[in-house]
Amino acid sequence: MNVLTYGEIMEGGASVFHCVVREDAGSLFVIFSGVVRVDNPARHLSELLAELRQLLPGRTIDRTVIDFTELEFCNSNGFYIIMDIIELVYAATTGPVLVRRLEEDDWQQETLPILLNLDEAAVAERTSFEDVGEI
Amino acid sequence: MSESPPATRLGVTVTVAPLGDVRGNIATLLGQSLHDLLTMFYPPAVGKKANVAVTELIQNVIQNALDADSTLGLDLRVDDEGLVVRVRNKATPAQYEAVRARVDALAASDAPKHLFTETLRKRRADRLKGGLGLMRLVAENRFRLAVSYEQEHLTMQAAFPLRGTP
Repeated sequence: MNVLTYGEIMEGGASVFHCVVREDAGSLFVIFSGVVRVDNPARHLSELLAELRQLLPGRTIDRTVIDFTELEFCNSNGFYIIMDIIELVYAATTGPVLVRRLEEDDWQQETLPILLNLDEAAVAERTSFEDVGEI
Repeated sequence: MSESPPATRLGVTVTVAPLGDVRGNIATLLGQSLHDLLTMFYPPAVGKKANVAVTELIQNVIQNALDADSTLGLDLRVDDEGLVVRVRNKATPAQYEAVRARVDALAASDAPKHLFTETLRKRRADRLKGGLGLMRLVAENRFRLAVSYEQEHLTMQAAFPLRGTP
């Protein structure tokens, strides 16, 4: 398992959000965890976006897994940066995308499909969901 | 068949004055604290809804506050009828009208999710800050919103019925 890049949000001296992008035998894993609550998350994650723009194109990726099950909270200020990351991943890959999300979470059930841009047929065709119950 | 016992009644009122004294992310602090408190008595989904409502409404106040000497008021009530979050802050008549227009547009829409989607895309294209919190409360969390204005203070209310919540 190769960690390609990593971004985090620090708040009050503590790391509160992580996005880890890993690659393993042709599979790409994008894992979100923690909470997005800061006023301007894009400021914290601009380097991650820049690295993704450099690292992903040209890479052989057969399938992608985007995992939100460890993302506990996302305020509305976080919507754009989540969309930016997702958009980059979809644009730089061609295979199927499995989205892992929490079964009982309004944000992940209602708003996440909007952020994924599922209205677009090309995106919808590549996307499947795995709903995960919280322990 | 026996009726289930009434749910715990919970009420929390927080007042902060002057608003200019706020250091750090008070929206987060209040949202997460109330989430933790509510999940002691209610299903996690209720705590999550309260967290989203408190975080978004307080964040709106902090981002749009014009008077550092003013007061922020938060009132949260929950019983077996429903969850009600009210946030009160000093606002201009123009700010009230802008908020009321958004609330009215959401109330008039028979497809708030579509309105939310369109607004999100337009605002993202211009990287506009804010403007999504209230829509999220309706489209994502099924809150009913109401806004009132009295003596230079705006009160935003988000209510969610709990009858039938597992």
